[in-house]
Amino acid sequence: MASPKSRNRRRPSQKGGGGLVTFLVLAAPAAIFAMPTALLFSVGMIPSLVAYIVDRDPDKTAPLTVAPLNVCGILPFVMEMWKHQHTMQAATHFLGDPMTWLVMYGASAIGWALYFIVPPVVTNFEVMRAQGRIEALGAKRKDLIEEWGPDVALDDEALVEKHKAATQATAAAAPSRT
Amino acid sequence: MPSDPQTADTRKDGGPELVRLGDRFEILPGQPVPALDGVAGPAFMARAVRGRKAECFALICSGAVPPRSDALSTLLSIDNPGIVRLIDFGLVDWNQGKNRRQALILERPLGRRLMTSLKAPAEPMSEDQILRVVIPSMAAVLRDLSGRTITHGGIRPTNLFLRDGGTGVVLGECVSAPPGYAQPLLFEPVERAMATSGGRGNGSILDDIYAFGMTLVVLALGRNPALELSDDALIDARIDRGSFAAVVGNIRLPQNLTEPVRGMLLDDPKQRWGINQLDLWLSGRRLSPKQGQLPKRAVRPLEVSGQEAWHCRGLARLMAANVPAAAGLIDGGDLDRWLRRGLSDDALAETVAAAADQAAASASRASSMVDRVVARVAIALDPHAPIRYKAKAVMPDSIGVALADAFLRREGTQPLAEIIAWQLPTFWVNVQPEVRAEVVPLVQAIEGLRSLLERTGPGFGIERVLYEANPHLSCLSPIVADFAAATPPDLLTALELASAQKERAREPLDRHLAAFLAARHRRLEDAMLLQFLPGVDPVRRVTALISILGDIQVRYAVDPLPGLCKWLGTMMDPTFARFYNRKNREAVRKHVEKVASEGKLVDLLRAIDDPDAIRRDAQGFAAARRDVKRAATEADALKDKIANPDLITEGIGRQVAAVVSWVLALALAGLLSMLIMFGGS
Repeated sequence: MASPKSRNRRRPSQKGGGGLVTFLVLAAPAAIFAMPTALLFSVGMIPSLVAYIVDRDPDKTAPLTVAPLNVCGILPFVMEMWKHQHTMQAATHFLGDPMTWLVMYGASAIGWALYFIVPPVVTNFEVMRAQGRIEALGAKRKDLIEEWGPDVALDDEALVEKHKAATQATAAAAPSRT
Repeated sequence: MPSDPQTADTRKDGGPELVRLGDRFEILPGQPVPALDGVAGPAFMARAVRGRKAECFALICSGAVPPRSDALSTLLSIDNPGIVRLIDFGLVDWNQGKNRRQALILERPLGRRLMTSLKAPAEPMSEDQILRVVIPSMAAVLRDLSGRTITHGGIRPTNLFLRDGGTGVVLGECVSAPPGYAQPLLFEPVERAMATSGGRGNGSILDDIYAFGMTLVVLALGRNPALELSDDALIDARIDRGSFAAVVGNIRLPQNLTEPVRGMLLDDPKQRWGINQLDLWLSGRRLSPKQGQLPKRAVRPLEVSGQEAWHCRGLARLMAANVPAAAGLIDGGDLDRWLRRGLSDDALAETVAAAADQAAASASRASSMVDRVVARVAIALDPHAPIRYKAKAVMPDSIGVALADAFLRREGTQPLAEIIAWQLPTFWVNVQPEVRAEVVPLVQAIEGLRSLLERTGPGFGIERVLYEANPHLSCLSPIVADFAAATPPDLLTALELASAQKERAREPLDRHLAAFLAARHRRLEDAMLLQFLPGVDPVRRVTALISILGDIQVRYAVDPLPGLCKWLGTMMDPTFARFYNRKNREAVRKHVEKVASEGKLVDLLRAIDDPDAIRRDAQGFAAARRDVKRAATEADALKDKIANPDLITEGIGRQVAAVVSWVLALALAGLLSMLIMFGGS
């Protein structure tokens, strides 16, 4: 888990900006040769683009969560086109079918659902695990203190001071035999 | 011979029926013999276990009087019918085993004492009986004592017994107290008479002869001729007129007694009759009567606090008794003028002035300077008199006994310590008119005591001086005082007995014990004694103590001492506290208890002083501290983490969501690809 400070240090322009340019440089020629696929992806990946835009987290976990399922929602139609006829007509046919929209955007909706549901579940799990560990550490500390005495929990300075005071007290309490 | 294990048989009612001195004598505590009580303690009937037919009695030393242990062996060898014979001695369990006492087994005199009290008149002894019975018997005893260079110190009418129906006399015991300790002033030469009872020193046979001469006077008269005089008045009279004139005066003694009595009562030891003169007289040779030489008298007296002194001895005595007035005389020059003009003794005046100047120059404390100056001046004025300092009057060779006496009487010992510290005995020796070779070792010994006195730590100081100056003195520590421990093994036995007492001390150690061990156990190093200083680590303290006592137990093969070991065990809490681990601590504690019950101090030392175990425990403690620290750090981090759940949600929560999404997507993509590729149109 990245700390808030480290997250603030990583600006989107410094990391994601370069990647986006690279993506466009590589995707633009591909789109020219596979226009129907590019059209479907351009329209179908709008939810992921929105996620990328609205997510202020520098790690961009929202698009990372939405995009994979979003792609899964587009993939059946793209493969159908690649299998039968990879034409703009087929692409527009799919775009004209509400089921296509439902599947593409429904898949991205599942991604959004994961984005909102999984983190609280993970948080609760982490908190419970930490509390269990804290209790175990406390029990271990108690056992050590019981076995070695309270001095075992003192820091170096306090331990030296305590020993010094104990020696002085014992010497002072010694009978005036000498 | 002495000090075997002693036992006490017990009656059915709980009282002791008899106490055994080894397997040699049985003492009957239920049968006291008050008529034979000694200076040091009461007398009881005693009997030999086997063989011996002579009747004997036991003197049980109460411990209130310094013992005369140094002369016991010599006195044991004396077998003279004219003196009560010492048969045996040793430690016995007393008071049903609650105490240990020195027991002296003596042959019982069968006749009565010649006099029971010096205050009550008795039938005068006839001249014939004195000449035929008393003097020959006593001359033989004195000859015997002289040959063994030992003094009796207790010759007086009340310590003489008739024997054989009046055909002889027996001199009573002298073993239970130092010479002259219980002697009335009348029977001591004037120098010794001026000393306190514990400060008279060993004396010489001439002192016994003086006492014998005075005894003859009292026996012949049947009374104490000086009964009306106080001690001080008697001494003053003897100083002024001489002892014979002061005591006998115009009293008519039997004619044949006058010569020996006059000779034996001469105040000047050099003029006084010795054994040879007495033998000559007994053999019938009559010596020219000697007149006592009186001290040189001044043309005018010197007044000290309203009292006049006509000669140096009287003046020294007055000055010692009136220190402020004496200091005034010294400072004002009156003493110097009196010595030069009144006594015409310029040499003495110079000596006195030098003594005063030396004392004043080296005195470190103004409060004691006056006492010190006056003490030195008194010594210079009367070199044969005892050292008189702050109400103490002691002969230089009696400082040890005087110190023991002061401790036993619970009197202050500071004056005696100052006598040693201010080197008054050395000064006393230096101003003696005649050189005496026998005092050289004495001076060296006292200088040695001074160096011990100057060190104040445990094992040194006035207690160390006490035990060094009294090589046979038992340990006077309140912890073991009831058990008459005179040697290191005896001390261990005494500590074992003391450990069973309900009101025992918190720990078996005090200044007396440390000094006693240092003086008697020569292997003991000074570094060990330093561990008894206040403020020293208690562990090192108890370890040193067990080490010393254990060494004695091994060296002298002392029986197991479980009581002492358990007593020492009560001092070991700091030792156990060295172990951090509770289990280790309990294990060591149980081990120590087990070892203590076996009573071997060396094993006890090993049990508490195991460096490997201590190191292992310390290493374990360090590791445990690291574990505790790590646990605390981790727990703090976790608490910080769960204190802000949003961070978890935004961080790992989102990442997990992405991962889940990717996994799900890849699975769906794979499934979809297979369906399309193999599922036809």
